[in-house]
Amino acid sequence: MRDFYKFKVVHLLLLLLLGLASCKTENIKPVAESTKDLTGTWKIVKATRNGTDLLPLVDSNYINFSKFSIVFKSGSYTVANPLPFIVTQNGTYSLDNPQFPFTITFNQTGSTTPVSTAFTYPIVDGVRVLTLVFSPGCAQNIYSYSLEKVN
Amino acid sequence: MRSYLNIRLKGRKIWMCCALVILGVFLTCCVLQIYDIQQPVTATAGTTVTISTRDSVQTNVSGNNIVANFVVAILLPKGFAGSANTTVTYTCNLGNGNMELMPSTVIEPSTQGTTNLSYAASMTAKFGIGNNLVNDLEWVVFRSVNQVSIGNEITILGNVYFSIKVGADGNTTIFKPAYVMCESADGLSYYSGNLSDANFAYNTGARMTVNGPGDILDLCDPQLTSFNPAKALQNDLLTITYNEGLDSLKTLKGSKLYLCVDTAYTSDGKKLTGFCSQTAQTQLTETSSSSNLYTLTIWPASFFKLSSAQTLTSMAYHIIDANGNRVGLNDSSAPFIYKYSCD
Repeated sequence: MRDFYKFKVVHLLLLLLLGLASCKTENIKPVAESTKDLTGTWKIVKATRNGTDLLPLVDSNYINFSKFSIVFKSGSYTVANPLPFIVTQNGTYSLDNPQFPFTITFNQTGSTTPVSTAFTYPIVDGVRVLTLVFSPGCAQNIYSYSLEKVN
Repeated sequence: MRSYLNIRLKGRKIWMCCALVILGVFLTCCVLQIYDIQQPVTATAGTTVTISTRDSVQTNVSGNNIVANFVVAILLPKGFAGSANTTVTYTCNLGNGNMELMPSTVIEPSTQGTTNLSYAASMTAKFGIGNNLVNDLEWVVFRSVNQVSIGNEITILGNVYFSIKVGADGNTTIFKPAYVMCESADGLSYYSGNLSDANFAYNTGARMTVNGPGDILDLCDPQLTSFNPAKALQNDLLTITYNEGLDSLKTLKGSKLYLCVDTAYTSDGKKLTGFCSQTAQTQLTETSSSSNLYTLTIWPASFFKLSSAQTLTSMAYHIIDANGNRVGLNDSSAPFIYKYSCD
């Protein structure tokens, strides 16, 4: 009877060892934050001036938010059908941090003064939205344009 | 089953009672009032005026004392640069003290977790520009330097004194101040959304005129034409509103009204003409049927075809109808003048 118990204990120990041996340490690598790639054509989907929605106010023939676009490509940007905006000329742009950007800086061609603004890049309804806040005229007049990529 | 139903009904009643008690606690949490506003009718730009208000707070909710800052705010024309030109003190039965400018980074508690607005922005959202018509005013917010322990079911009576160097921009400004008072623990959480809510400390002052050598800015009286934003440069989007209801002579006929710029002036002394037309680009649109308010938004830099080297300083304009009838300053034939300036 005693031998039977010894036999059982030995088997249990072996099982325990086998169980322990079957475990292995798994190294989980954190997923790297993607770089924020702006490449593409962006169009305005929302525009405010001091909190007031601008889209119902403008004459579509002469101030046309739907025609305005900005194309980011290989560090350069091109503005089409201009509007009051953070810059008036085409040029280059850069982000302060490619993975966690807080600021976008525009360098207009022919200008030595770069223009920076806060960079927000949330996903809204499953779509990336680029929101730029700036004052093209008086500093107390705050404009906010939200843009979505069209291609 | 019967027993089960009985328990459900009792439970419902208990929950309804609890809800009413909770609602009652919130509704009677505090009564805050601003009254006896003492402010000058007129003042001279560059001088310092004192405005005082009497304030009362009745706390009426069970619980522990709260430790908070008193918060007060005054609505002033932006041209006063109120943040730099205002000091505030208070006296009350919990002690006297000085107040400091509320940092713009402090979130007003009722917006915490939602819109996360500063006190000034939250007051703009809730109270707008008070009884004024032209959006060229700002809420200047202060908090007590020292926090105070506010007990339950007590009445706090006090006075707030605003010392303001008025008219920093040198303009003649006509406006109606407004006032708000609360404490920093709850902020504007108990504001009902009704501007006439007597239980919440929002109140408006009478019309005040600050005389200066500069332009005349009437921010509170209806004008034949008004601009939004009130101060703008050539790269702002500028919305002009024509209030046809104030055209007592009924000079303009029909619903097709146009902006007619007689002359635009630039900083290099040039006079730009040729911008008085009756086209789609200059036509004003009625905001809604029978509103008698007509608006047009222009981008002046584009409208006047300015070069990048040109700076627009002002424009002289009329509102005209399809037949060329013209309305000008004070319903006369003299042109309205708009100055492109941020000051």
